[in-house]
Amino acid sequence: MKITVYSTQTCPFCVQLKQWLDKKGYEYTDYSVDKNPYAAQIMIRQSGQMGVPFTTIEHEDGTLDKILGFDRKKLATILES
Amino acid sequence: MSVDHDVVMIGAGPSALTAAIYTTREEIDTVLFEKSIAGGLAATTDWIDNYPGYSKGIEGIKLADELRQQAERFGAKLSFKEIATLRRHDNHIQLTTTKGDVLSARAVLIATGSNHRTLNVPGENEYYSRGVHYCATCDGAFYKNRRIAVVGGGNSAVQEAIFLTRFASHVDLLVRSKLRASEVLQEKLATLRDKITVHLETATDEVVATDDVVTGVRVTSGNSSRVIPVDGVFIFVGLIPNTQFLKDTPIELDKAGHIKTDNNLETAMPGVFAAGDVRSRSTAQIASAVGDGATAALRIREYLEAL
Repeated sequence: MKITVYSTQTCPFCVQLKQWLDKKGYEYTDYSVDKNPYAAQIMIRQSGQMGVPFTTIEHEDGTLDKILGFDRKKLATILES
Repeated sequence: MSVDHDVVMIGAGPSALTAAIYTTREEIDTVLFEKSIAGGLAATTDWIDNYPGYSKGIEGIKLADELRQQAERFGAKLSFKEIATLRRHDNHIQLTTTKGDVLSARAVLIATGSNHRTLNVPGENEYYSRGVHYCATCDGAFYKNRRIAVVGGGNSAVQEAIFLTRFASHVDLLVRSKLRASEVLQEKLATLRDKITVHLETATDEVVATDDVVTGVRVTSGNSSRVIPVDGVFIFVGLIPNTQFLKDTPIELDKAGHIKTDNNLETAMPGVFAAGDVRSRSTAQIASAVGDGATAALRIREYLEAL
């Protein structure tokens, strides 16, 4: 399972999402879209929108879950399943 | 019957976190229920210059984090669940979460704050997050070297317009009547005339898109209507109190939906207190929300002692 977080440095929802992942012990790759325009383009292409945080969870079987916003319930359901 | 907690606080913004610092320091068992993020709207504010004790100002996100850590240091517990309703039951208050969990508390503090009001114009819902935004610190970075409109004339609108000049090539500030922002912010705005154009007496009527991409805002000024070309629109047209969940309770609200309290910050439901932006006649300032939180905590302590 590969977790990717697209965030900005000034977004409180992003900060608290990453704190939540840290607390639960999940490893993830964090792209600051305010510093990395290439990552911003990938995020817009994948999510079809321009809001952060946006998280993707890539599973072993190749399926991809996409979570817009800091949705604890959805994240927990996917990560703990 | 045993009661689950001494105090349940609904919300985890500056007001509730302050109240929790006071109650937990006195070993009053306290749980805060928050449906979104700790720190509330204050956390989404890029920079706070008028909160006492920070001579150089502080980032909203940092202040929120400090408040949360301080409350947790004394034993406050945060639960990220949403309270759906509450009712008085014998000598305690019974609360139900949106998931259907039921819990009880001897006293409750409602400090749910407010949310940004929407404009209710065509295109606003349709292009939410795809050109229409309500959080500059979250989404402003997507508009590097692009043109943005900010709608509103109060402190939030002007402050966020100034923040967005970090990214945008130009900001059009659309003000329905006159600027209502503080003098300090208006003075700062005046120094940014090359980056921010202020349109007074200008109503925003529609978010305009071409091929499903936001390309402008339709505005009316006097009798003339025109489209200002922009790539994104950020809306800060006031706040609405988060009190919808109280509509079937005996808790009294004022016309705008804020909670009415007595001088002890107690609502019409005994044992239920309100503090911060959600309270009727609040000044919607972080400093006053914090003050309200401290007052509410002391009144709650008195209430618990008298039980």
